[in-house]
Amino acid sequence: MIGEANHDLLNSYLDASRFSEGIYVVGVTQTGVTVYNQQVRSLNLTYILTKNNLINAANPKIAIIGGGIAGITAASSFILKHPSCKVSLFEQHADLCPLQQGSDSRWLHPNIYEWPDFGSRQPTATLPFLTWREGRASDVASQILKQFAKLYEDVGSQRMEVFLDVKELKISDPRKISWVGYETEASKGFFQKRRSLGESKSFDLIVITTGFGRENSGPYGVKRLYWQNDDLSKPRITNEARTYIISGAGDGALVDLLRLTVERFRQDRIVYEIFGAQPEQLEAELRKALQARQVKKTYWMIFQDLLAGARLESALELLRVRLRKDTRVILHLAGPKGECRSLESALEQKSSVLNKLLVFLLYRCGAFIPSFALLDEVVENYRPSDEDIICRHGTKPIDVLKNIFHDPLPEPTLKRLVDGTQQSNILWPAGWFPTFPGAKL
Amino acid sequence: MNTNPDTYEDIAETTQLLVIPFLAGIAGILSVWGKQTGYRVTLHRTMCRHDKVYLQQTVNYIASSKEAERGSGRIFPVDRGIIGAAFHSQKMHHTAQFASDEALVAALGEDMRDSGDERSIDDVAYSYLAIPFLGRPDSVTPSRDNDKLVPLAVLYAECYKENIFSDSALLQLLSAQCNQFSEQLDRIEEATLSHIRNFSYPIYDKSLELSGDSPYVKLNSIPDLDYTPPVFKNLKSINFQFYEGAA
Repeated sequence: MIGEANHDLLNSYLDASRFSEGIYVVGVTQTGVTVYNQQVRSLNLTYILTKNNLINAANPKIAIIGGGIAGITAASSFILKHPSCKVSLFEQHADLCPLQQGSDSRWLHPNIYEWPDFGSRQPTATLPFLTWREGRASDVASQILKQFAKLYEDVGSQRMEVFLDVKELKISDPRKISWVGYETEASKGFFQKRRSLGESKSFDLIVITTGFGRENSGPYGVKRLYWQNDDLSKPRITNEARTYIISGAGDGALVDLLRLTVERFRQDRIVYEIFGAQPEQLEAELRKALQARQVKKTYWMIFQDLLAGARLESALELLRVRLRKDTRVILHLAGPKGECRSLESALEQKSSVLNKLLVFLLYRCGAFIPSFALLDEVVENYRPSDEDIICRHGTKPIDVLKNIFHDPLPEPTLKRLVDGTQQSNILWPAGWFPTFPGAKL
Repeated sequence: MNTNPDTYEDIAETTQLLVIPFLAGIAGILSVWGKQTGYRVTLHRTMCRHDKVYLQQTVNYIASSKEAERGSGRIFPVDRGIIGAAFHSQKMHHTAQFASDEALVAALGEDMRDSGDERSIDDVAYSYLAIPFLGRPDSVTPSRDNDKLVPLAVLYAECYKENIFSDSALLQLLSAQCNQFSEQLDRIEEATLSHIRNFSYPIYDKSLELSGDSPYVKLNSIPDLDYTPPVFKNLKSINFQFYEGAA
């Protein structure tokens, strides 16, 4: 086999995914969540389960709970790798990939959050199937669903069944699922509901890909959901500047900050536009500098060093001329209890290096106001309209998990899942998954 | 579904589009030089997975028969056949000159037996050629000597005409084509087209410390020292893709 990952890594991955015997979780408890990472985690799980001979029934019945991109990737992988299995896929909404479908405001790139790693600017996902190229979230969903529908049509209902609008799904011991929902069929790349039914079935393997659930609303509610279309990037056509408060330090918050402060911002182009057409040298320097984090250098210090060494001067100038003139943005970074007291410590929280660096440069340009007061005080102070208070406080994935099990979840199991790491780098050997003719962009 | 036991991964279509015209030129020459006896040509690129290096066929064979037009994305180890020999020696390799058809067929048959090749001798070509393209890839570990050349790709050609690759006039022509191809790719890499870009990937250091035998050792025992393999000055790997580019 060409290029296998090491044994210990595979076992620790399995530990971080195993809920109980025959029940596994993809990504739900993990950080560093992107569409591409979730697909890789799904494929990693299929690889490890297969390699460890954990799909060993004669005609395994496999249930996938969650019809987002991770779920349909997992379903495809079992269908293609295990010719005798039957896969049942359950999605609570009326269509698959409901978050990304129709989402025209969000730009998806497979690897840009890994920048400045090698290959992070590559615009294609290069997965064995359900692969995609960068685009609006709606375009990416369309690329992936087209391939999945083709597979569904090819293998037929003997091998795969997809249930939509699934309500009251519950897992009970040992691997029994009961639900109410609609049977479907695929035609010409789209899914149609056929008839409704309520059923209860046992499975040999259950994979949970329920995603991350609803966004935490916080005290101000969620007026602008992350995947909902919005006009944040659009210049205001009235003359008055508008005040926004963005609360949060993760990528969701930082990307919205960038959209509200940089004219014509887009995640992939910005690298070339700000750091030049040949950013490789800066990337190499950054990679080297980031290794220095092992000796207790913060991101802030690393960026400061690069700025002092004149490596970011032109980037700073290029960013300065692109600052939006129609917005005033307050970035609320204090956290729910006011625990974060500086931009330097906010940049240490989980977010991509690219977003951290851009936010650092924006701060140097005076493009936004960082705030470390409690959110109520910030709102009181700046008084934006309700819809312009944008809270990116993450989701509650464990609540989603709790909802689908009939019995209460054992705390030690939850702790193991939360503490464990499901690698988002590829663990399967080159060419291990078969391809199918429809698996092309 | 693809049930072929070989392993495959997709190659970007832009990369394929770039390689095909180059191979078409090589195929055209072989068609004339080989007096229509039949040929197959392709280019393999070097790539890595989990600290191991391997070769991947960038495009389907450009071939004299339609049935042979396959193989794009195929992945295989770097120690296989004349391609492996060219990869490890970093020299052009080709089939030796044989005094008679009988001697060639006898040597080929012996090589096929030795390597466990069960195909009929009537189904295989008589002449083989492999030319490595060298360059200096990115390294994930800064320890490597950055000036060290490694193979980034290998041109593979086979022809049913005997002794064709012993013809120095032909080798000169093919060698010049390879040099031109590497020069032009270097220029693209330097100039940066507005919507096509080479997205380099690193080559792991340890993976290059390999040795391997060529199954066709007797038939293809000749590293040709008269020709210096083409060297990429700028290109670090072959992975051209369409991208949105800078506005």
